[in-house]
Amino acid sequence: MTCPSTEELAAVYDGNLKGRQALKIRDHVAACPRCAHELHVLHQSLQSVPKAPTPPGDLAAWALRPRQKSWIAPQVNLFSPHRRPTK
Amino acid sequence: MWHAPTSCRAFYLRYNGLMPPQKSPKGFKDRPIGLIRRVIAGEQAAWEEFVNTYCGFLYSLAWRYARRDVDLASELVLVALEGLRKPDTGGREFYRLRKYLDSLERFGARSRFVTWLALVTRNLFRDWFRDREGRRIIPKEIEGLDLVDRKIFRLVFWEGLSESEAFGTLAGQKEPLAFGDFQSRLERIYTKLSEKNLLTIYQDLLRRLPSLTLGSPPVPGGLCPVQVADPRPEARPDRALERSEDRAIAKEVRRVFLEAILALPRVTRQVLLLHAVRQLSGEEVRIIMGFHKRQRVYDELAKARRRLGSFLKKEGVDEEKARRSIGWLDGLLDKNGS
Repeated sequence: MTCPSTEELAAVYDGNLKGRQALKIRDHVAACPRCAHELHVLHQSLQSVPKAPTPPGDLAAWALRPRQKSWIAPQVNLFSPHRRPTK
Repeated sequence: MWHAPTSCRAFYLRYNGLMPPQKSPKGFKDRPIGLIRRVIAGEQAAWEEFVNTYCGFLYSLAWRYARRDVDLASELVLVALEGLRKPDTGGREFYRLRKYLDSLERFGARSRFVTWLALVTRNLFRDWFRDREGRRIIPKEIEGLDLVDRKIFRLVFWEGLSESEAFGTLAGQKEPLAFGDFQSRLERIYTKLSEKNLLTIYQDLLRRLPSLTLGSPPVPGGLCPVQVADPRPEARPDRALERSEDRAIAKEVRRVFLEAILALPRVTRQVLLLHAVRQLSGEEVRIIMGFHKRQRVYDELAKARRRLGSFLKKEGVDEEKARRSIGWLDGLLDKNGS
């Protein structure tokens, strides 16, 4: 069996899969280290959610603003001999 | 073949068949189908509601991956939202949300939305980190070192920067580090790295550098001689003198150049930094500076060039050396016709 889709893995984690398909996927996950690892990381991620701090107040507004070219350039090495100005 | 840690198997076996149905965290619906349908339909208000509802959840997920870096966590939230908005090959937006909705409609309500979102988001973060850093893993012996050491490792061994470039980059990131301290940290990294990892990293660096034939020219029909130098500084005495001389010249040029920049009028200096260093276009600089005409930007740049040129001449700095030490100065001085 090929690895289950994201939706199927999420359903396995939630314990909402029933019937023959559930058995198939469970058997696969028990034998597939990748899928088992995915589940493990998912579990850790969801467990860490309540421990994270509250996001900055304006994060949602910031995420919703129309996307423009950023005024902030990436970190640059000012003195690199490889740097050339934009023509 | 890749093997998951034993704890992963143990985790799954513990929950296999016994896992009770999970509940969504407070404030989240198990399956916000109505909202997702409206988002997919392209309703802007629905997308705003979606972002307002799940922004905090995404930030909490990102927090773990960003290693407590607020800016990076915020950026990862944007990465996740962009990933959710991403169109399919037919150009229809929100293809991931469509897929989730399809699976619900075809197979019935199976997974909670937050579980699915956590899985998808994790994949998006992983892809983003891979794009940014490549599929590279920090060697175990370096993982144990502190954050600054790991940064130095990334700059020198992954990005292939020279010592002075790496030091300049760290200074640009406001790392309070003296050059001596930087060098001793670099030495420590060299000594910590195992022979095997050092060779792997060096081979990777060589692959990315232009090829260079060392030694005698290849015999026709014979094998091309390959000489791999030991990358450790102590093993390259021939380069040590050259490097220290270059460093001293570059240091002096930078000192004079920074003095020259500081001596410029405030507006001229800001225009110069925005255009030459931040690489913004004339129009972008005009908007930031609040000038009425773009010509003002070019006038300020011409003024900066004149003054920098005369300052360098007055201080007796060789222009060629200045160009070699500070790359972007090259084009700047050329425009002056000097």
